[in-house]
Amino acid sequence: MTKHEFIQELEFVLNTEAGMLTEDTVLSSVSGWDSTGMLGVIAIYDDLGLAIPVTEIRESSRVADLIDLAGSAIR
Amino acid sequence: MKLDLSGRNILITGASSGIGRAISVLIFSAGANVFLLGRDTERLRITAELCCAARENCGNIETDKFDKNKINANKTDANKINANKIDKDKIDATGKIDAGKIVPVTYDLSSDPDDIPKLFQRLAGEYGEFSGLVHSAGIEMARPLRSIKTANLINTYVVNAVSGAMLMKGLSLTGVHCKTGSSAVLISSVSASCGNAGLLCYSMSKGAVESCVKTLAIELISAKIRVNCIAPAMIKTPMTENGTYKKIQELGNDRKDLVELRHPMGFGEPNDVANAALFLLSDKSKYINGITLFADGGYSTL
Repeated sequence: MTKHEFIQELEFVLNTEAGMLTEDTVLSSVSGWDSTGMLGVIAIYDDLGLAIPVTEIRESSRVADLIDLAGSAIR
Repeated sequence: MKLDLSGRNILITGASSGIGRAISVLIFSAGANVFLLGRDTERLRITAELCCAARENCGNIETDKFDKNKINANKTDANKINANKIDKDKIDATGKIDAGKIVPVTYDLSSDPDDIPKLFQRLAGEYGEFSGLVHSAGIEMARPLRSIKTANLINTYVVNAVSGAMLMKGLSLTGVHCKTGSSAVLISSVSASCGNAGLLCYSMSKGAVESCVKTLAIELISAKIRVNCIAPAMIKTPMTENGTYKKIQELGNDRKDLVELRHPMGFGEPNDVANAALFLLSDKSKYINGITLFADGGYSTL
């Protein structure tokens, strides 16, 4: 998965308009960044075959942090 | 009130842990012969040993002859076949088998659901007719709607609902169920009837289980098979404590508090569900058919 595809998926699960998220977006400023949104992020990682600890997802502050958590699974 | 299942053959799916394990141990201690289905041979062995420890007149723990991976080996291994024979000491003067049988069956319900009725036939052919079935195997899937793919829905549906229906097909076959009457218990969930954000796959599959029960409760009256559901709320099992509940806790206090508030009597124990299953399997519930029994500490009333 590319960074662009990841961000697109993220926009979808966090219920934001297309093109609204960038790597620098602060997650706490996104209205969909709640427990249900985080479940959606877990699902993205799950589809990539990754089991990222929920605490690490919750403690992420920017979109770039979520990309970093995926490591080499995101190009 | 002592509930007695002496000498009855009862098959339990999901027997390798949690609710299925508790049900297996309880109904074996109530006198039943238990057929323990699960995917993990080692964990099934532990359930079998727990069953044995719970009852004084425990017979042999039988060798797993139905594991697809081992069938060929078992066919040619005379020692293993002999190990399956019940000890002569355990057979009473009338020739009736006195000691309880524990038969572990390593089996993946999702691998080929059409094979499930055949498995039931093979078991009945070897061990006699079945008086009961408990379908406790299940998988959880916590995904909000926006993250759900068709495969998520289908996978959950196959394990939780389709396999339950195919187990019922197996039990309904002539020669598999007891002519004098049988009872089937399918484990549903409060999620089938109460809203829970993020649990669509699971809720839909458990709703299907409850629909299956209502339909078959009527369809199988002529075969003298009663069919009922138990709908537990959150039960303290390895699946919830390491999976769902852990995830809920880690997601933050808002969701954790919400889940705890919806359990006015706290989370349940596996035996809370096992006791309900024992009742529904027993003759004390002989006029109860097609119901969903909530074992939820009041969850569904809120």
